[in-house]
Amino acid sequence: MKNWVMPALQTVFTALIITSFFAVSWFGESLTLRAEPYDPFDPFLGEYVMLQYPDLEAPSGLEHGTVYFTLKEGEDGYAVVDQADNRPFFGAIEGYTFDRTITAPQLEQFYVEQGRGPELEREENLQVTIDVAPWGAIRPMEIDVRQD
Amino acid sequence: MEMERKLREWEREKLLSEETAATILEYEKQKHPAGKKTRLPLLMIVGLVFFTLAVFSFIAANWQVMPPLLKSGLVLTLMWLIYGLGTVSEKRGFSRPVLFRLIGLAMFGASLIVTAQAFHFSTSGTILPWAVFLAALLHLAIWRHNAYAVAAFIMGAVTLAASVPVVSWLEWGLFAAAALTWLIVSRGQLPLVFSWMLVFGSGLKLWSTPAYESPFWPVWTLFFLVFLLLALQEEQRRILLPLYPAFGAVSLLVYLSVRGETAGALPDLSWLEAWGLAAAGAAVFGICIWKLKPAVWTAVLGAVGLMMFDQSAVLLAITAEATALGYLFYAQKRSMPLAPGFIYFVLVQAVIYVIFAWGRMDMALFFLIGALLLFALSGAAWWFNHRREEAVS
Repeated sequence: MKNWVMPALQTVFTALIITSFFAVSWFGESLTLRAEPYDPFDPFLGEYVMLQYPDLEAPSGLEHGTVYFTLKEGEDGYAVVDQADNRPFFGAIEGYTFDRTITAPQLEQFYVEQGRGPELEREENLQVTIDVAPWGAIRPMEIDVRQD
Repeated sequence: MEMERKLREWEREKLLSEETAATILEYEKQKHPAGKKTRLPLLMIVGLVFFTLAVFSFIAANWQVMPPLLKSGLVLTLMWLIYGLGTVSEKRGFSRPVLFRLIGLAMFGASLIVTAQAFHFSTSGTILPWAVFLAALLHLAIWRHNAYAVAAFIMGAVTLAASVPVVSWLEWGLFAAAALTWLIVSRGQLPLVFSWMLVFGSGLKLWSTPAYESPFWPVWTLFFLVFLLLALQEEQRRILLPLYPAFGAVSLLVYLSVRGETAGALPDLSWLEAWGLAAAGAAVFGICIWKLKPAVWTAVLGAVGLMMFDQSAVLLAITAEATALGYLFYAQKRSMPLAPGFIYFVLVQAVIYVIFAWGRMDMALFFLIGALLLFALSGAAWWFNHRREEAVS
């Protein structure tokens, strides 16, 4: 019996992680962010695109460092910062200021199929679709070339 | 066949009696009956290798188009398979079950990485090292093999490093609690030493918490660990006590180097904390004299706070020299191994030499004098040791 305790516990833990990813989509809303690639290269972890988000501007008065923010859909259909604070609040995404914009660890890189990285690197205009849960978790769903 | 031939040979050479040789042969026949082959046929091994390679290359070729759930499922299946092999290995007595279970543990880490990547999540957080760290501790609790202690220590250190530069109080508290619990329940030498080092590491981690910025977290942690010794069992104390002078010595060397290389006042230095540290050092000294004599050298660090200011920095070098010499005499008097004391003594001289001589003399001369000093010190150490060996013989 004890021989199977660890693989069972580990499987349950991995299943919980997977469920938490799906829960973001089940309970969250979908938003699209305007994105720009800046360094799509990693020799160890495979091909992914590093992204920055020009629309996610840090509001004036916000201290540099860790920030907590929420997103809303802007007039042009792309997401913008709704609320941002240096102190945590319910439903906020934990991120940090990068130059004059805001980003979050889950947003700054996007793994893509082998061979697609250079194609996306050439494009300057990208868009990323994410699901945002009411409790602040985010799940990147899709990356594509922006058509505007 | 080979064994039988060797037994006959030993019998002829009168190394074994006839009865003993017959008993060994009988035992071997019962243990490994003729005709029952425990090894896999060579062709089958070759076939299995090719089959495994084919399966892996098929998975690799189709990895990009696989749905995320299938990717995670594949790695988890592989993990189950390896744990299964571990169980079979234990029951049938082939290979080492611990190896399979360590690979299974690694597969668990791999399943989390694959899952995070497949669902486009960042792998830079602390969830992965935390999960594998706790899983390794559970492996240790269930199977009690030191290999899991090594895995838990490595993953504990990775967990500490992963939360640099900022860690929340909650995460710090959880880590300190996990490391402390491991330390308190450990009985074996390796788990005790590793868990002690993780508790010490969690003390250093206080630099990453939004706490009071103290330059003396390593000293406070060591003092806390001295007090903790009182709550541990005698056998646990015996194993852990040698760590205190060793970590104390390294800490003193680091403070000496930092002070020597810093121009002007150190930031976050306060007289209040320095006096607090001195008071704690006095308390540690009292406890060590009363019950934990080998750890008494740790109390010296209590004075470090008062010696880090510009006006008193020279006392730090004097203290380092005095403790280095003092420990050598102490070790000599008690017939303890002299090597650690000598190494510490040589390192103190090297640090002081670099602090005072670096940049003040020609580079070639700096290295020449340094090498001569090192040679002289090593010679003195050899002579000292030689005299002691002569006295013993």
